[in-house]
Amino acid sequence: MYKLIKRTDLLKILFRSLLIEASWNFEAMQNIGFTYGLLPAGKRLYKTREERAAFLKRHLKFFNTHPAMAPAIMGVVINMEERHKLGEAGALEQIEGIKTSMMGPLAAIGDNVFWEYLRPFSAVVGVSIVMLFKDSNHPYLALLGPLVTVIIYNAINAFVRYRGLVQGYERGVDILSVIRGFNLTALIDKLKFSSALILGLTVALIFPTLNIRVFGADILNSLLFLGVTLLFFGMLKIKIFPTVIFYSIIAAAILFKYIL
Amino acid sequence: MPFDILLVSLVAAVLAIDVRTIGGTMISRPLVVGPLVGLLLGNIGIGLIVAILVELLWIGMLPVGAYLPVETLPVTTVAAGLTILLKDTISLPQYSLIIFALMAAIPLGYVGRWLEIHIRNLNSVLSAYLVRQAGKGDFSRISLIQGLNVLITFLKSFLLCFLPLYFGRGILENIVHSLLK
Repeated sequence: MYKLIKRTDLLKILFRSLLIEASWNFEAMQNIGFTYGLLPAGKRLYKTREERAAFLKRHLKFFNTHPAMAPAIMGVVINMEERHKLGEAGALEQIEGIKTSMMGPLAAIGDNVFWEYLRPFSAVVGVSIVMLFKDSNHPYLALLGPLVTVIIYNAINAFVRYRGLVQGYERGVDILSVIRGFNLTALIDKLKFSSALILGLTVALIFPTLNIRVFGADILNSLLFLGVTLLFFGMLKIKIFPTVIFYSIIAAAILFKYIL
Repeated sequence: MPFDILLVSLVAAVLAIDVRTIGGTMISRPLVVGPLVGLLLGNIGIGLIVAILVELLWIGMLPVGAYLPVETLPVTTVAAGLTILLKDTISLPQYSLIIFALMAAIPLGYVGRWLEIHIRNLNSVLSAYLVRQAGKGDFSRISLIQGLNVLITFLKSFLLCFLPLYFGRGILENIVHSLLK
């Protein structure tokens, strides 16, 4: 490790990996972006024209994965390229197979974690903050909502990108065990619990605004909200989407208001 | 006023670079763009309302695989911008005006997607060119094409925000006035 590649190269690759979808095309998808990300390593390892031509031909092939998961694959590829340069036989032949076998599963994990859970979750937190402060004495605090959304999303985004690249480079193909070690399924479970809390909060916000009171006493209403929150948690556990529940709440509120 | 429109369009175009290029850090989502446009034009509340409406309209659309979602950034910028710019000249309740502005801005999302498809087809040609030229071992061409794409994204979003705001302002005002007669 770090025999030819320097830590500054890894840092450059980390920033370049942000541009992986810039030249996205329908034929080879992220090939240009992926090669662009690897260029610092290519410059460090290969000096002659023939070597660089072979490097470009190796990497300008079809490639597509979730952007946040791409650094992990880049790390593994740099690891193999360095081994090849150090004279290890067979390293080069493995690269193509590693790329194609990793991009599918990692894209599935990335789409699931980032787009199905993290994005709605961070957006709902932001919207809740906006709703809390919008009509209060300090309306400018509502601007915290978008800020919190961006920070929550990008803290996890940056962590996965950084760890993926460094661990991918240091451990090579063993990276898959590292990604399992992120324990993303446990994270999703925690996110589900938080989503349930926030959906419960939505009920607590919407029903009083529309002047709907199920029970006469306030304490009973609060208990009802708690029960409803636990019910949402159960619904999320059996994979009902948060958006479906969200719209059901609004529909229920309207029904309560105008029919009952 | 033209200076305000220019500033808003420039900020929106810089944020737009995030959509596909910087792997989605959320700063190009309506929830961020709307309040920012509102802040620049002096009415954060309208920016937030437009942002929430646009975010909810296309909440289920994810850029998975080769699927291209409708571009929400020009819709948010133009709808929020038009509402704030016209709220003093048109005597309508704020929410009705937002609906009129959204109606005018939503086609821009589809224009943006149509342009994006053509940009990607251009990229297919560029990709084939790079593969043909790979034998020369020249790294700088790849960086050049990446830079070109960032520039194209910037220009596309700038034009999609600036032209409708600058020229559409008067048109929408006339349409709404003639509808109210």
